[in-house]
Amino acid sequence: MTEQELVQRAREGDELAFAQLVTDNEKRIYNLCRRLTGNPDDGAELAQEAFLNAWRGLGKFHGESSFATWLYRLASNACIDFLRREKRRRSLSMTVSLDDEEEGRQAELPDQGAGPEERLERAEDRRAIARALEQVSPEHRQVLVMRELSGLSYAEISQVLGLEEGTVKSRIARARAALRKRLLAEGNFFGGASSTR
Amino acid sequence: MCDCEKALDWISLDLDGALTPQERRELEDHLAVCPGCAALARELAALHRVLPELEEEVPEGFQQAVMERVRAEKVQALPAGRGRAVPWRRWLSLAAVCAVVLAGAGSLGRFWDRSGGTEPAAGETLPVQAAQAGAAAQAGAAPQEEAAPQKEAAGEGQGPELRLYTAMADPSGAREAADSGEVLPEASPLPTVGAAMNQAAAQNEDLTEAQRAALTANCAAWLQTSGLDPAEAGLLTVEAVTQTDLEAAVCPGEDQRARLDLDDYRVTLGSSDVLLCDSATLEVLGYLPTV
Repeated sequence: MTEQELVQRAREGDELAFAQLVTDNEKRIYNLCRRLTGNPDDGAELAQEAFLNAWRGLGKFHGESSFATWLYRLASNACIDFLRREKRRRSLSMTVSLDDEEEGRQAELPDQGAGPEERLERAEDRRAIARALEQVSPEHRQVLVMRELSGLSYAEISQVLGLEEGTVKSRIARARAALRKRLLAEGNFFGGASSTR
Repeated sequence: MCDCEKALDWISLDLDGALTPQERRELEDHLAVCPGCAALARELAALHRVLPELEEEVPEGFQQAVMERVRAEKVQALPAGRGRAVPWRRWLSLAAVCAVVLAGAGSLGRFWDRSGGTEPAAGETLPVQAAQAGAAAQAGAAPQEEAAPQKEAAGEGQGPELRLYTAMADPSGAREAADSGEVLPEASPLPTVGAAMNQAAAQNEDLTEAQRAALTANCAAWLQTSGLDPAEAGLLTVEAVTQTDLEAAVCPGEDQRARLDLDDYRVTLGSSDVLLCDSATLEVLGYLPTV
């Protein structure tokens, strides 16, 4: 069944159809929320809420974009709102993820031909990048997650964010630069002599 | 020509495969002569490689949790927010049964005189509650925008008594669903009470005389055999069983106790007797001791 058909059924109250939509979109939505909020629990909660809001709001969804894109926007907005509230609440501006949770939840990825040392390094790299990701601004974090984790295209990202594609492209470039800057500040992430740009 | 100013943008576009071949060549030309930009390109490429590996598996039970909340959504505006949400179809069929029981018991007259369109106070007896829940459930059921009646709508196939209740409960007053003037069909003999109730709950179709009688009979008979005062068996209030109820319930046997759960109904008769009934078969599973 196509997404359109599932959405139509779900709109009529078909819970099974909606359950399928959940299955189809949960990984993307969860990862967006998990990375935007910086921790798995808030991520899971916001992701659940996004689906619930989608269910409630199906009547208002008229297929202007794909359901996936619409849902992504719901989740993204909810996370940004959450981060703003959190920031006001907290004296420290950023959360730091717990390394243990980080390691436990990550998908198992075979490093092609990598020896144990390299695999360990890779895991540390991931942790370092995850930390740096939490330290860049929410707007930068948002586009980085969309582009690099969810693999959304420029066009899709511009639909989700309601921005011109040109704006999306340059925001992504700046986000990447910001992330790199964080990692340089942290330490020897890139090894060797690095650029001062 | 690429220069340091454009380099960041072009490097980023290149990572996403968005440069034209011409632009790509120009970028490479620049990187060949500019160590700063070359390092930038290397480092952004490294991030681009590793970032996707941050993708995690969805936590276990996620979809289940979502669907539980979705299901809970279907029941809207239950009065006094008591107990756990009950699937709205069951409410509707039960509402139909109880409303007609009341009609049969002759208390219908009270409701005819009520002015329509106002919210009854909390603690009103079942028909208005349940009909209201039914109407609200439909109004509140998220995916449906149209007010048009659907197969499961309260209006279809219900007797005139319940139509009246839903009309009153619906503030807008215009219940298009309630337009058929049909009378409830005659009962066909049904094998068991349980099966009949199941049918009603599952398909939400017209309730026969036998089914309506069965519910009243269940409660009355139970009260009699258990030695409790049958009281004014006419007034029934039906809500969802709460956790407190489960803990306090007295059940005649282990089988009944095992079957009793948060999906079942607590039925208040008269002023004090509370029976706990199976939501599928509507038989009595136990009662709450009066304190």
